[in-house]
Amino acid sequence: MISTSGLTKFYETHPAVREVDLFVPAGETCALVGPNGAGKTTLLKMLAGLLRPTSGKIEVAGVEVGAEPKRLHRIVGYVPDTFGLYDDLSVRHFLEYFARAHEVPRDSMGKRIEGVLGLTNLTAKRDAQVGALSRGMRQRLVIAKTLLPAPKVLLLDEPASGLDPHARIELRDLIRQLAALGTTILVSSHILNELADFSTSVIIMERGRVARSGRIDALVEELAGGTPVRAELLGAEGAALLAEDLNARAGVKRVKVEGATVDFTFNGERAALAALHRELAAAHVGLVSFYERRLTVEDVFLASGRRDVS
Amino acid sequence: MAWNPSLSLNPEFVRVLRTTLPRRRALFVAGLTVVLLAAGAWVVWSRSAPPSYVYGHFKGDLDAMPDPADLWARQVRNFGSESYGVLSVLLFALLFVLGPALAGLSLVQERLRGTAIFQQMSLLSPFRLASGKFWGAGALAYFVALLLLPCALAAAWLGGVDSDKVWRLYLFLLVGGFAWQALGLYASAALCGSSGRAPRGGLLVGPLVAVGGAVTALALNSVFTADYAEMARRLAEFAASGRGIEDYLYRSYQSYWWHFYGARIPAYAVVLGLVSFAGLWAFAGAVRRVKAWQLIPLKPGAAWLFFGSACAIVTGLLWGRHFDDEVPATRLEIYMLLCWAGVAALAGESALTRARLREWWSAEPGPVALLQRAEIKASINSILVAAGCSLAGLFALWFSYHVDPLGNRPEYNLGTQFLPVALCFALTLSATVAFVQLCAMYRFRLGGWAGVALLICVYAFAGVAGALLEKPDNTAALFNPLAYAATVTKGDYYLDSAYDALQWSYEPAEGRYRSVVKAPADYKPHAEPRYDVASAAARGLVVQGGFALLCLAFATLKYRQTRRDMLRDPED
Repeated sequence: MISTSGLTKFYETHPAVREVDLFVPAGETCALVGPNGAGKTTLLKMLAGLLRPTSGKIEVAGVEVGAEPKRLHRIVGYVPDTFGLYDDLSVRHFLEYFARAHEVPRDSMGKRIEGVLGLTNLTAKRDAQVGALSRGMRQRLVIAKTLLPAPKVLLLDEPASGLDPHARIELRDLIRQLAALGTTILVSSHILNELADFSTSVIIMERGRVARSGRIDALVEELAGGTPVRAELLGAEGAALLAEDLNARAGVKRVKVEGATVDFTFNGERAALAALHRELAAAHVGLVSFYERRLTVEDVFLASGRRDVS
Repeated sequence: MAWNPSLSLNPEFVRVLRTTLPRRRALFVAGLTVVLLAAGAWVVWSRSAPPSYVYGHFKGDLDAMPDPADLWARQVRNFGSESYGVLSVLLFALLFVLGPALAGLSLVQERLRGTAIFQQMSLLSPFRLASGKFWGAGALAYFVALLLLPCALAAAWLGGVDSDKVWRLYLFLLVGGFAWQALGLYASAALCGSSGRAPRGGLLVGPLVAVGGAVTALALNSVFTADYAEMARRLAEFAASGRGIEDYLYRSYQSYWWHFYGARIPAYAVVLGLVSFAGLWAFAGAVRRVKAWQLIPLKPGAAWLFFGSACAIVTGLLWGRHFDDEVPATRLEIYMLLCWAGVAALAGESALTRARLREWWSAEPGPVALLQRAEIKASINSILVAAGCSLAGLFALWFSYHVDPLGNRPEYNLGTQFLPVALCFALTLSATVAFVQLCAMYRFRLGGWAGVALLICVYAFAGVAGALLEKPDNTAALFNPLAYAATVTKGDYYLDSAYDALQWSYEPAEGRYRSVVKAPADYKPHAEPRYDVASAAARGLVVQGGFALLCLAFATLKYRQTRRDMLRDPED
């Protein structure tokens, strides 16, 4: 769905994005992560056809960006990190303007507007002035207007920045709903927890380059080198003893103690893991819980940082 | 969905209209206008009473106690003509000042507000986006103007104002207002550029455009209010009878009649044509800017067409020989100056700045790779086309000046001075482009425009130096292609001669000289030059050729140095 080759953008001699080769398949919800200044916004703007690359090629859903910007804008929706709105318009007029600007058919316009208002939970604010909306509502309104032409690809740049916890949860749910509708989503953030719950793949950027990319489960598998397991004990002393025990066992790697918690990687069948559980429970009376841990984008990012990003 | 008329209109226009003139505001503006109109009418009416024998200035006037019905009629006429004047000023203020100012702010405001990014991604075509902004920005001005216009027309009728003058002035109001609004939109679009940043001092563009519109209205309105029928009648009468005429009057009348490819046209028609041309191209330019802003690839055809049509129009206005006109050499200078300015502007606009070069070299450091870029090829082609159009127009003008309308000199000598003047002009254009490019590679914030500004200083300095020296063919003067053209054509029958129809004649009855219109037998060449024209022509060529080569050499050296420095120390 989204592919780039040798994508490079320099601001004078400063490389914002350098030699980026990417592929994001259709239907993915891809997290674009990296520290501030990693080149995430520049990359998203180039993918949205808003910034001319210095060199390299981009193709989104078969459309070559740069050659046919109007065709691209039919299939790509972009929500920028910072934006302004037409505060003097009502929410309905605001959406009506963008529906017409994006050539939404006249007979289905009303339905589409109601649909995106419902999806973004703004139906009650239909007749409110845009200027009177809260930060979170404005963010949702921009997403609503972006969804009007039903884009195949949605690019979200730091969509949760400045939102309160409640608004973040709503936004997360909204992204999940969009993903369920089959939209390919590329969402950038430097706050990894935001992305952990709904991303299926990840692109990690560092200093304008892609440090690592791929599906999260594959990366987890690759990075963990086995099944990540967490054991929680009653106290730190017990945890230290357990770690000592684990280090002596075969098939156990990367044992890490943090307070009363012990994380480790287990190489072996699930039956062997069950046997290990039984043995540890018998040997360590303070063992409270023992479970397979689900790795998140954060784990991938941190592991990637340790291994690849210098 | 119920039928909604707004869905049939340009969505950008509807959006701007909803923002600038919502229903309540429109009602308020309409109410306020009506109240102010009524108050203004009351003031003007009370001031329009004709003088009676008590208040009149002319105490000896026997009609000081006129018939009351006549007094009423005179008051109505005074009221009408005065109201027409006031309302016309207001209409000009609306369409020449307010509309253009708002258009000047339209795209700048999108950047400042942070909504430009949504318009960049809009599927509205650049034409629809620009026209929506154009009509939307002027909506407030049009709305009030529509309320005032019937009142102004009624006032003109009451005041007995010549209907020809009214329609001419209001045609100018309409065409000029639209043209300035288009210029405002172009300025706004040009200032926005394609960068994501809000333009520095961007909001100044509105007031600046407004000042431009006001100055144009003040400077040109007399062209439209003159009595052309009366002037034409009197000029024909003077020419036929050979009777005396005041010199200033004759000159003044002549100044209202211009020529286009030899055809005599009233000045207002020419001004209207030029204003329409400027307005149309300003709008086309604004559409192109929006296109560039939306990263839609631009084709150079429009720029070529602009240069071609502009050269054709300027050539038409300066074409051929006419009685009592400037000498052709002066007209050649005007033509060259305009073309030179056009090429300099194009060079300033498309110059490769240090920042762009460094960006491109960072990605592709090969010395020749840069020249393969489509943007650079298009810029080079456009500059070549502009220079080509300029030279073609120069040749056409030269040819038109050598076709003697009197048929006195059948031996047309086309090549006498054309080649050196044209060659010098071409060298100057080359030097201009190279100099502007050279300056663009320095750290000037204005980029290529800094080169244009510096070039003006260089030629102004050379002009002052040339004027201070005693000999007219001094090298400093020859450095300027316009002065060079005047120097090598001095005393030429075709290019430096006059046809003075106005001559002084002694009137014995009046005991003084008066100027009369007479048709002389031939053009009278000005004084022969007191210098060697061939030597001046050669020296001018050497000076201008040397300057062009110098600019080209320095630009090449700077190009190489910039690349070397960038590759050695990219952070510098």
